[in-house]
Amino acid sequence: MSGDIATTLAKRQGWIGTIDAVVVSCVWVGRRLAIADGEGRIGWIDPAAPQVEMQAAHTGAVLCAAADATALITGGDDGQLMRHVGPEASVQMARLPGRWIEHLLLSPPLHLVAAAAGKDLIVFDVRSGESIRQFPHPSSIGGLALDPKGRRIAASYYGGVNLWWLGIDGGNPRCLEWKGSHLATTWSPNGRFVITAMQEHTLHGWRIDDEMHMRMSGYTAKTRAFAWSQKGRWLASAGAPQVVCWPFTGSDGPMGKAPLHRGDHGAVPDTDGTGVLVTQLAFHPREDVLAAGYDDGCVELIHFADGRTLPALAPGDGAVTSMAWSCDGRVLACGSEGGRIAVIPVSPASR
Amino acid sequence: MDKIPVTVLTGYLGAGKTTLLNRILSEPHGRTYAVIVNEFGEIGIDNDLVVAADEEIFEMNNGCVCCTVRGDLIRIIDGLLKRRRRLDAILVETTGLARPAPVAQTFFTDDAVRAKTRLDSIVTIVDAHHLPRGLEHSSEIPEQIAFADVVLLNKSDLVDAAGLGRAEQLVRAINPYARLHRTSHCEVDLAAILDRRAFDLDRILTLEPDFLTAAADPEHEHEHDHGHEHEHEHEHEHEHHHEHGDDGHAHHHEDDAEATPPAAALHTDGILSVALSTDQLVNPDRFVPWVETLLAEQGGDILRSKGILAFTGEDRRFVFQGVHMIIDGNLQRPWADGEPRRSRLVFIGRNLDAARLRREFEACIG
Repeated sequence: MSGDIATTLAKRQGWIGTIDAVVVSCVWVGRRLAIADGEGRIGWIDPAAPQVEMQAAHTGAVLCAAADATALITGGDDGQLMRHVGPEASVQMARLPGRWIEHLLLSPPLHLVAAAAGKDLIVFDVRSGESIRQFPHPSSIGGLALDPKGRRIAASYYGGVNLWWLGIDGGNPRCLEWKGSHLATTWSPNGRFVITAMQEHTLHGWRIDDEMHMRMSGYTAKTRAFAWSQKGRWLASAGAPQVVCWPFTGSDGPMGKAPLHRGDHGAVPDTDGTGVLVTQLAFHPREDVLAAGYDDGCVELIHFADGRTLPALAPGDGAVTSMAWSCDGRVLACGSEGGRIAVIPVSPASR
Repeated sequence: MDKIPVTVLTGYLGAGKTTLLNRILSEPHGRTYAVIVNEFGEIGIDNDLVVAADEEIFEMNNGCVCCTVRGDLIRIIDGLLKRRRRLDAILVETTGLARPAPVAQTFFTDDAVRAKTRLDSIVTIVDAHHLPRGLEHSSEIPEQIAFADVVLLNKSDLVDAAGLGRAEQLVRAINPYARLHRTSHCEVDLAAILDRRAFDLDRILTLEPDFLTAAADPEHEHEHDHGHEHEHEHEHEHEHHHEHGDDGHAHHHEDDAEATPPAAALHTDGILSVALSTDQLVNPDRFVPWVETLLAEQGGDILRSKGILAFTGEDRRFVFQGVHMIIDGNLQRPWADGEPRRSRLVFIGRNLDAARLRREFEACIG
């Protein structure tokens, strides 16, 4: 179970650096870690010899980022969509003057980037930066998710979710309707369910085939992060003192079933009575291990099956804002609101 | 970290919101203000701290009136706070036709916004020249005035003394508690509209001399602005309230309730204010359920409410304020020695039955 702070994995075998900015995103680009921050800068970290130097890219804050094996794509409040392949190697793909690019997704099979700016979802060719098509929405887009094949995209807004084919022009989207404001969005790995986080601290889901509705409640705050376990059996969600995990093993999803709760750090309120909340989640790419980040900066590794936890990073430096496992699952990267970056090697033994 | 104060700027089309924003953005005050405007074009200043918003009103929880929020503000504030720069304040300009409630409620209902920002005050700009006609045609204008903590009676140079008096009477009929400044071209000391802490329970007494008799409060005099041409006017009216307050009779509230002129006669769209007070101690076990039920049932009509209560068996003052059904209340500092333990309540809204409210409030005494 959780030990004292001195025994965190980061202290024992990791690297901790700080930048004077909000970490907006930690993303792996092949074997390198890319950091995007609230001052519009990008930094590259080699996990074998970690150090960080942030370099200016956007003129405002970076608001979103996504990557494939070779490049990082970022969107900012300066209206720029930028592509970065390494230090000193940033190019502007597109610019939407006066608009904010708030959400981004990359479809590697189609070589397309989908960027949400207000009510519009704009699809760009990842190599040429050319704007290919545009999908309008009745209100601002609150979140994006790709289907497992990377061909279809779900965009949430006030009133529901639209499903569009990324590679096909125009036409009407498939509309999954539900009254209210839909934000963070995720698509189940089996392709059958779309789930959104709502403004009123609940989740809403649809079984795409027949539009069966699912409602999942019991959150303390808005859910800002989702993670799917191996083979999509469990959906882990943030926004509560513990990770709330919904079973998606049956054809009805989690309906009529109780969620599992995971994580020790938030389970007992602080001495002053205020509890901490889970803000970020990342399932290990191959093993049954979930990384959970909290709003006090703490990160723990959770052995999903039995719930045992291992402290990975001590509290401090504000909420965890981003977490990502390297593709091989050997390194966990974490970034926080207060500018702390942790690069934590995780050997099979420590898991 | 201190929460960033947010000032909401409302006012009907053409009242002068853009004039005021341009002043705030161009004056050399050395402060950093982010401004969320409803349209880019009108602001003549190119500044990355000016953000255009599409007013997106979200109904939550099946559309209950107190659960409407501005979804665009939630997104924009989240985005603005990604940068480390120190913001001294955020100003939110609403459209001329906007009702202020969703903006105000955003700052009480969204947890992420609430963690980083605090609603400082609602400033309403009123066109003194057009007000009488505007009130006949618009239901938004009285609502904007009703919500206000500060009213700028603007374009006062375009009206004669009688017209100005009439306009002021109209504003007072709807909301006698807001700080009123007569202005032309929105020329007002920024200190009069920014950092007012109007929603801060600790400051409710000291900041609103029109709202409560604050004679016993030593800070009171220091809260006044100095050197403004209209200050005299304000002071005068203020003293008038003092005289009322100092008479110290338990049934003083009847005067208050009647002090609001009949709304219909003044074209205030049925919005008026009701003030209740007592020098007897109030029973919290009866009062709290009463006010909660009242706001739950009539919160759609009650736009704003405030109160300071002296409870039986409690040495501290209970202070609350509400926007529609959202209520924020707390036990606050102890009553000072010699300070009269007078409880006062104010409701501003539509369809208020003053007699019934008084009867029900009196049932909470003792």
